[in-house]
Amino acid sequence: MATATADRGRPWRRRSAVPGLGLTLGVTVSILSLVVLIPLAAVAARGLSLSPESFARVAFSQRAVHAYLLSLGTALIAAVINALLGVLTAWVLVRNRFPGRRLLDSLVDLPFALPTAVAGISLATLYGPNGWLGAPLARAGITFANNAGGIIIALTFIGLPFVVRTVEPVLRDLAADVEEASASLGATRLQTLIRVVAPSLAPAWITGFALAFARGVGEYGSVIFIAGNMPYRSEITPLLITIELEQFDYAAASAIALVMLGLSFALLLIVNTGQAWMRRSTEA
Amino acid sequence: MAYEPGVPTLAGVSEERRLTTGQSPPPPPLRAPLAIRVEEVRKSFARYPALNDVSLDVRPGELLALLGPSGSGKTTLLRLIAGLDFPEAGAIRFDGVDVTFAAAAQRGVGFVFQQYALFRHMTVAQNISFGLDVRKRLLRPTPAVRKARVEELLKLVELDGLGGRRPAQLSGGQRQRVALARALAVEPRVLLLDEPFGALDATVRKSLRRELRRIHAATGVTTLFVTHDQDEALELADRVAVLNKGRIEQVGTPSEVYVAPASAFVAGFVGEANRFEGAVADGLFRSGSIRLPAAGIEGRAVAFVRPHTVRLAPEPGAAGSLAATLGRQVANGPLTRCEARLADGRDVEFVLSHATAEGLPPAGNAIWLTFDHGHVFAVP
Repeated sequence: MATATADRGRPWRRRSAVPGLGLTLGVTVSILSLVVLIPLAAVAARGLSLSPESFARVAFSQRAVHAYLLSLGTALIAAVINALLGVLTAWVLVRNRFPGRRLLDSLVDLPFALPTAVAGISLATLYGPNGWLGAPLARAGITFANNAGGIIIALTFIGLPFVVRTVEPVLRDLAADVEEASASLGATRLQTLIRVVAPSLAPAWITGFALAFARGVGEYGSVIFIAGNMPYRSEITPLLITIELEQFDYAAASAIALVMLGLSFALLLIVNTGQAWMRRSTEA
Repeated sequence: MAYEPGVPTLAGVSEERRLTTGQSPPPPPLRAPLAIRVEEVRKSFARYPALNDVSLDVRPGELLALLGPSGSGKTTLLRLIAGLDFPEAGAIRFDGVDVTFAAAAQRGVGFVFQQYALFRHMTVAQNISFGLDVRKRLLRPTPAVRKARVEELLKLVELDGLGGRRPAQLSGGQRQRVALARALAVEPRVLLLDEPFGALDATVRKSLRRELRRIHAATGVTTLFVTHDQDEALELADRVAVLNKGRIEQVGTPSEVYVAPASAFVAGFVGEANRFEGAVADGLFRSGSIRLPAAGIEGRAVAFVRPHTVRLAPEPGAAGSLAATLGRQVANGPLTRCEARLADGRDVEFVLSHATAEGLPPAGNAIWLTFDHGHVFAVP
């Protein structure tokens, strides 16, 4: 009751032992606004400045719809591949001690640091029709030029560290005794992994997946060098936006960006809600 | 293998045990208790040897404590028996069958961890049921039987109605009860507990000790537990194995270990004792003016005198008595703990009955003590 009296007129403000809520929240909101919210609002404003008919014509043209589906589809597939590869990599890094572990550990971060154009050119050289891997594969009838395959390879490369780095600390903190308890109760190694380890990793795993997916949706640099960029076949949304920009059609670029933004946001919201629900059911 | 609810089988449990279970809920089913034999087991970790050729016989159905200070190898020994670690030399046999390198899952062992090691994403009931849920289809009880088993175990550990909770919603003591129920659910042939009460506060620890005693009586399963708390070991166990620096110093009943310690380490670690260094010559231990009988030893030695064996001399200056200055007295229930300083400056603790202590002069006065019994060991 005393607290209520002291804070009369500021009902949202609770007394707390953690200081500086006002200051930190203020700084956060200001920076978030300047860096994220206002630019995004500008995109929305620009896109919505079109009349509804022309918005629909530009944003939902056949070419644009193909680009959305390609971007989301490849990002999704790459994120799934990364979720599996990433957890495996994290597992090896945390659980095993082998010569070169530190080196592998640093290598994982390389896609973060490498300019994406460099990654794109290397991948194109490697997997292109005349590349070291591309040429033999092409003879076998598998090509990565002008189709989604190349895009998925590029996005897998770009997204891997997101999964590894989110799962790794959780895996490291996972107490060994829980796995030992599972084993002593008669569970096989596989049962322990599926029933005990995986559920503990799930929240971090999903976060890593969402990050890799989000990165994949927005990725531009590494993809355009390998994808071939054929409209209706291997043209990703960010590229389509760039093409509209180069033609000085800012409104069209904004309209396409807006749709992409909405789709990505919706997908991330679903993933995060699912994850929050999962976390609640674990810790409540 | 299949469990039949409502048919509590008490075969193998002595009449005395059946009586002690009293009103407790029907116990889990029993198999013939298992004998464990540890034969000259050796295990070392990177820095230090954890177990040096340790041998131990655990009798069927007994409750045995592995007692020792930290780093004595007691937890390592327990983990070797559980199959969570494997020895470099030696063998472990369950009823004569060599299980030295058998996987934990194959041994039929229930293990309770100090930090509970519950599955946080599962409910209490799911935790308890886990060991049954992961069985091969042919050996797996039907869902209804599993559910009945969980209910029954929840009753046994006095957590009825909490099956739907998550571990995070329980107190430390409750979590350890869940861990115990989970370990018992698989009808283990051996129950192994690693410092099971170490993380709990004193009151909860006391009540869980009684609980473990009761559950052991009800199930009759061979049980080993690790502890560094001598009170816990002496109060709870049928027999105590005292470990020090990777070796077993003594195995015996609590009173054997206390009354007849086999080594200087046991005498000093189990129970309280005044420690005096001296030498033995002609069957007599001498340390300053202290004299104690010591047969079969010669040379440098150390003597342990229990506080309750120290007596007040019948009269000042009586033959063989030691002059001392009385220090603090602390009344503790029926006993009074006293401190005194001998003429040569060494401190002695002793315990008197409350009535005897009332006859003592105030602190700072001279008193006369006699030591008539001590445990004397040669110093290597």
